Amino acid sequence: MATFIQLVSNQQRELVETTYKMQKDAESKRKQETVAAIIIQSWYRGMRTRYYLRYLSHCACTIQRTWRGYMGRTFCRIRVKNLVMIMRNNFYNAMAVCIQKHWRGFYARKHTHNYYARKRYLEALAVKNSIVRQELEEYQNQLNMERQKRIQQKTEAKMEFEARKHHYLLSTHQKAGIYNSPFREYPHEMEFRLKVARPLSHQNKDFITENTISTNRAPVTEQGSIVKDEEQIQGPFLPQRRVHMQRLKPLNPSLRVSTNYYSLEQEREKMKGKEWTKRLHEVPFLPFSKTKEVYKPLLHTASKYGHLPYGTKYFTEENKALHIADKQMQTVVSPIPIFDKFGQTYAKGSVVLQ
Amino acid sequence: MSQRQVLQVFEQYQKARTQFVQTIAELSTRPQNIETLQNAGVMSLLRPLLLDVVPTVQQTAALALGRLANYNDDLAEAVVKGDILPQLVYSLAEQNRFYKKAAAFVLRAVAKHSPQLAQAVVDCGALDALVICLEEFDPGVKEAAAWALGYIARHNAELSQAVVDAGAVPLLVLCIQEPELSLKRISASALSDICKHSPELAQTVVDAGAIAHLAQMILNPDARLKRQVFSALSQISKHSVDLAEMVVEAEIFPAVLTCLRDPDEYVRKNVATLVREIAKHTPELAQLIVNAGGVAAIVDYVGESKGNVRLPGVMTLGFIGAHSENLAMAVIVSKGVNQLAITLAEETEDHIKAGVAWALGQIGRHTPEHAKAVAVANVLPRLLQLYLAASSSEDLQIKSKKALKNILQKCVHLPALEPLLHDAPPNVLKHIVGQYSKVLPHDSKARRLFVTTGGLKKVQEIKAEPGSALHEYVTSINNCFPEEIVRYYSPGYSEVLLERVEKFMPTA
Repeated sequence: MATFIQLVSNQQRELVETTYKMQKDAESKRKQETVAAIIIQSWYRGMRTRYYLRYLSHCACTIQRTWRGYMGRTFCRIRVKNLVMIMRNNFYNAMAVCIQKHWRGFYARKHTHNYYARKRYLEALAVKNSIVRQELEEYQNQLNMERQKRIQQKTEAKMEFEARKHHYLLSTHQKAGIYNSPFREYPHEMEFRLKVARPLSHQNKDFITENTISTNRAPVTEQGSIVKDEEQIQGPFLPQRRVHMQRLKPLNPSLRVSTNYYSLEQEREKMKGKEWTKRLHEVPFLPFSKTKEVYKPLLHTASKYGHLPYGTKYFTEENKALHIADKQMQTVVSPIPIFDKFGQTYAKGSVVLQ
Repeated sequence: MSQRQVLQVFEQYQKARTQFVQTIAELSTRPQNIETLQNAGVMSLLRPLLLDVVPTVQQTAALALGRLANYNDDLAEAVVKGDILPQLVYSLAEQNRFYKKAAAFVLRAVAKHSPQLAQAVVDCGALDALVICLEEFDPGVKEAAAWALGYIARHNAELSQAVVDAGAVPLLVLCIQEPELSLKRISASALSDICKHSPELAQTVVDAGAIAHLAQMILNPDARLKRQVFSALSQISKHSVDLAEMVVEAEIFPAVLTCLRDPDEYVRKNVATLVREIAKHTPELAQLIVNAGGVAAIVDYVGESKGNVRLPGVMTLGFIGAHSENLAMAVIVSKGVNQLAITLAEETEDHIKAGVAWALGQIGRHTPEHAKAVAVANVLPRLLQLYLAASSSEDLQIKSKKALKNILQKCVHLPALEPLLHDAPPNVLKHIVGQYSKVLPHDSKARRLFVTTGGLKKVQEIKAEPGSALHEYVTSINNCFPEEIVRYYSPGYSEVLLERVEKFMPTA
C-alpha cells in the first residue's frame, strides 16, 4: 500500500496533469475525431452499399446472361431449322424440276411432238405425193391419148367418107385425076384413099351415110358368127341384125326357173346345221330363283274353251269336207312372163307408145 | 256457099295463127328483135294464144313467151303482170307433155331474174305443179321442172325452203338416178342450188340420200354432169363439219383427185372448191385430204390453171396450212409454198393475190421453220411491195400486211429479213428489227454479217420514239455491238469527227 501511496503521492501531480492534458487533448480533438469517424463510417457504408449494388447487378447480369443465352439458343435453333428447311425445299424443287424436265421432254417427244415420227411422216407424205402425181400424170396422159384417138378416128371416118363421096376423082389408066396430077412429084394422099374406097351408091345414100358416120359395130352372136350388115329386105321386115339377135339370143330363164324349188327349206336346214355346230351349251341355262311361280296365261290368248285356230293357225275358213286333197297349197307367186321378156322380144305388145 | 268453103276459112285462120306464133318464137331467139317485138305489143297478142284451141299454137306461144321472158327482167315482169302465170300453172297439171315443158320453161325464164319474180312464181302456186311434173314419165318434162325449181331455189333461203316444203327434194334425188344425162345434170344443179343457202336445207338434201347418188357419178365421163355434181357436193359440205364428214364418208377420196386433171376447166374448179369446203372445217378432215395425197394434186392444179380457177386451190392450201403446224409442214413438203410464190408473181388480179397472201400467212405463222420455208421462197419482198403499192386494193393491202406480220413474227432466217430492212415502213420495220434483236445477241456470225451488210447503219438511221417497242429493239441491238461501232455508224458521226479535227490543238 505504501508503495501505492508513495506512488500516488509521487505521481499525483503528474497524473493529474497528464489526465488533464489528456482530457484537454481529447476535448480538442473530439470534433475532428467525430468528423473522421463519420467519414470513415460513410466510406464504409458507401462501400458496403456499392458492394451490395455491384452484387445485385452481378446477379442480374448472371440471370440475364443465362436467359439471353437460352433464348438466343432457342431462336437460333428455330432459325437453323428454317434455313435447313428452305435449303431442302430448294434442293427438292431443283430435283423436281429436273425430273419434270426430263419427263416432259420425254412425254413431248414420245407423244406430242415426236421428231422422228414426224420426219418419217413427212418423208412418207413426199413419197405418197410423188405416187399421186405420177398416177395423175398417167391418168391425164391416158385421157389425152383417148381424146386424140377419138379425134383421129373421127377425121379418119370423115376422110373415108369424103373419099367414097368423091370417088369419081380417081385417076384412070388413061387420064390422071386431080390428085395425081403429072405436075406433082408424087400423088396426093387422097389418091391412095380413093383407090381403096368403095364408091357411094346412089340408091341408098341415106342408109350408107348413116352407117359410115355412126360407127355401128356388128353384133357378135353366141356362136361367134358375125352377122354382116346386109341390105334391108324390101317389105315390112325388121332389120336382119335384130332378127338374128332374137333368134340366137342366149337362154334367159326366169327367176322361178333358175332357183331351186326347195331353196328356202335347204337354206333353213343349212342355217340350223350351222347353229348347231356353233352352239356351246346343249341344255339351255334356266333361271332358278323364280321356279315356283306358276305360269299365268295371258287373258286374251287363253280361255277355258281353248283358243280359236282361226286367225292364228289359218286365215281362211276351213271346210275339210270340201277339200280335194289334204295337202296345203305351196305359197309361190307364179311368175309373170311378160316382165321377164320385156324389151327382149320383137313383139310390140308390151311397149307403151308415146 | 258450100261446106268446104266455110271450113276453108277456119283452116286459113288456124294456119295463120300457127304461122304467127312460130314466127314470133323464131324471132324471139335473137336478142336484137326483142325490143321491136316488145314495142309491137307481143305480150298482149301472145296471151290469148295461150288459151288457143289448138295445142300446137298453145305450146309455141308458151315457148315464145319463155324466150321473151328469158331475155330480160322487164319482159319477165310483164309476164307476171299480165296474169299469165296462173294460166300456165293451171295448164301444167292439165295439158300434154310438150305443153308442160314449154310452161315450165316460161316459169324458169321468169324466176331466173330476181328473187321478187321468183316469189311471184311461187305465189301463184307453181311449186306444187312443178313437183307433180317431176313425177311425170317423160324425162323432158322432168328436166324442165327440175330446171325451174333450181332457178327458183337459187335466189335465197326462203325460196329454197319453199321448194323443199313442196317436197321437191326426194323427187330430185330420184331424178338423179334416171339414165338421161341432161336430167341428171339439171337435177344435180337444182340440188346444189337448194342446199347452198343454209345447213338445214343441206341437211334435208342429205336426208333424202342425195350424197350416195352424187358420189356415184364422180367418175362419169360427161364433163357438164361432173361440174354440177361437184358443185352440189361442195355446197352440201360447206355448211358444217357433220355434212362435210358425210360427204367424205361417201368415199369420194381419192377418186375426186383424178378429176383435178379433167380436161374441163369448170370441173377442175368445182373439185378444188369441194376439197376446199371439206378441208376448211377441221384438222382431221384436212389431214384426211393430205394423207390421200390431195395436197400434191392441189399444188399441181394451182400450177396448171390460170386466173380465177386457181383461187379455190390457193385457198385450199391456206385452209390446210392454217389448221396445224404439221399440216402446214405437209403443204411445204408438197412444194405448195413455191407454187404459191409463183402464183403470187404471175397473177394480176387483186383478189387472187390477196388469197395467195392470206394462204402464205397461214402457212408461215406456225414456227420459225415454217417461216423460213416461206421466206426462202422469196415472197416477203413481194408481199411488202403489194402492201405498199397504191394500186393494190384495200383487201389486198390488209391481207398482205397480216401475212407479213404473221411470217415476220416467227422468222429468224436473217438473209431473208435483210432486204426488207431497207424499204419497210415503220409498222413493218418494228417486227423486222424485233426479230433481229432476238437473234443477234446469240449469234456472233450474224452480228458480223449484220455490220458488213449495212444493217447496223440502217438501224442507226431509224428514228424511234423513246419508250416505243421499236426503240427498245434498237437499244437491244445496239447493246450487242461495241460502242465505237455503233457510234461510227450513227448518222452525223462524220461531223462530230470534223469538229474534233477543228478543236484539236497540235502540240508544238
